Amino acid sequence: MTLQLQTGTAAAAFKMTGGIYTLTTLELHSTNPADITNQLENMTRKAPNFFQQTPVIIAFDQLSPEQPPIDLYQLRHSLQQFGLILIAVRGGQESHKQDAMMAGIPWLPSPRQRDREEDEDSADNVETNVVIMQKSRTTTSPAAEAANQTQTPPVIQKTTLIEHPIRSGQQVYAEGDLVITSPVSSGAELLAGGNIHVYGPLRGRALAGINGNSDARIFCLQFEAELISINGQYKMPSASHNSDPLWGSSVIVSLEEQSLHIKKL
Amino acid sequence: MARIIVVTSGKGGVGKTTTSSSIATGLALKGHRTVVIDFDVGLRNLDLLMGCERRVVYDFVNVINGEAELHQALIRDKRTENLSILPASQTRDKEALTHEGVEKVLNQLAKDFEYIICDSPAGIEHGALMALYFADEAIITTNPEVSSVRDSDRILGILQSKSRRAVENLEPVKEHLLVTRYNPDRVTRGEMLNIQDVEEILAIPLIGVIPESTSVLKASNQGVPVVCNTESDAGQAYNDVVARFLGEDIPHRFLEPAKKGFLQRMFGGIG
Ligand SMILES: Nc1ncnc2c1ncn2[C@@H]1O[C@H](COP(=O)(O)OP(=O)(O)OP(=O)(O)O)[C@@H](O)[C@H]1O
Ligand SMILES: [Mg+2]
Repeated sequence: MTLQLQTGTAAAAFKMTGGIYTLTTLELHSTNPADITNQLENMTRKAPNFFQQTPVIIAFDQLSPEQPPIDLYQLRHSLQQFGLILIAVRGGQESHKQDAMMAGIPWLPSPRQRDREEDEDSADNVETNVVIMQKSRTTTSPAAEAANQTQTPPVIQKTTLIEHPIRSGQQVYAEGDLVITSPVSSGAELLAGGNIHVYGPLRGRALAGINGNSDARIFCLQFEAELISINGQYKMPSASHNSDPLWGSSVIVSLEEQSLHIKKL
Repeated sequence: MARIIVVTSGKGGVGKTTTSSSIATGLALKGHRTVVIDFDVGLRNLDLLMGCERRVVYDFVNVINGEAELHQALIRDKRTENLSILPASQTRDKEALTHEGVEKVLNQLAKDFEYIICDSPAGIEHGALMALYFADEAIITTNPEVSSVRDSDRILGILQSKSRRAVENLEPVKEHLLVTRYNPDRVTRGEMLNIQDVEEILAIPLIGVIPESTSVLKASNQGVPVVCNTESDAGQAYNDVVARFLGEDIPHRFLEPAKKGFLQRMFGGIG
């Protein structure tokens, strides 16, 4: 399944597509660096070249909360020494998510029940191949969406509320709506499957409807964004803010006929 | 309970060490037992500003490595009672600061001192993370320009996610905004951000504004923290900061361009 994301320009420099990939996942049961390195060593000794340039995901879902915290920088480094390239981390506690954010490593939510059952078949096998559904930043055709809806019961998306400022270098992801009651700094990034509300200045990037929702909207009290996007359509308002009459005011951003509309609230 | 205060910024050269030396000295002058630690391993600046560079025998890393006792490395300030300095090593790299090592030294200092001031290195790497990890309060040192404000914002994000208080889910680190090297003339000319801009972007309480002043360089050449020069604008501003830190409510000053006399207007201002 490969679907095209409209970029809106006549001669696009690239085509954005979504896909489903099979990836190696290391499901952590211990955070002890020595144990991890030992096992990697044993694993790679048998087939030294097999793992060269292999993308891997580190999963925290099966890790007991009693385990001491892990240093992601160090883990990434040791994986690299065995040819494995850490591309994302999955699941775990809020602290894991934050560590990943600080280390600039993408974070994926724990798989749904369906995937979990697959996992259990090989629960004692550390090197598990699982299918990662790439949901973010891809779009689904209305037909496929309709087909999806008949297969799976509708999921009630939770609203994520954050009351502290989002600072430069931080990234927040919400599957459903994202509500922020503090300033969002330039250099910060908000990603939401649903709507984004910012009750304060929005100076960073806000990407709403990232899983293919064209009806998502962005609301903010003080519009000074670096980038706004709904379902892949984007604008970079701060580049031309001197001529923008709405700069600094309360606005609502919506997607109408493939283009972004910004209106005063 | 001792309070651990980190002076940090992200960006380099904004005035962290100047601030650490003056705030530590100011607190000690007010009768509080204070120690200031140089976390800038590899560079060593604090001892110069404090005028004790010739008295450094052992340093922070020696203590962490067990090569010296803490009391051997601590330097008692000659001018100010109640004040000690723990200098950095010039010959090691920042990786020498281990979590356990830093914690051990801080715990030991907490028995003898009320305030522990940590002078952070620039950047957001290991040394800066170590300096802020154990902090109870943070003085976010910022120059009124876009890149410095952006870096301060970044450091605030790190304080809120990577400090001990964040990791252990305790009450968050108390944050103070200190704007340094503020030049009202350049603000008027639109060459620098004004205080409101900086406050608005960082959204944390303002503890003080230190004007750009030639007295700072003079003080550092003499090895006397500028806070001791109560004649100077920067010295007075640092004294205000210390008083505000201790809970006094003092209006901010040095925010407007100095009114110039006739001769000064004729011949241009002096710093
Ligand atoms: N208020 C001020 N007015 C004029 N000069 C200042 C002021 N504050 C600091 N400076 C000058 O700026 C330079 C850097 O100051 P300082 O060493 O305190 O910064 P720092 O943030 O500790 O730097 P680093 O990131 O390298 O550790 C010094 O030359 C100092 O004299
Ligand atoms: Mg310094």
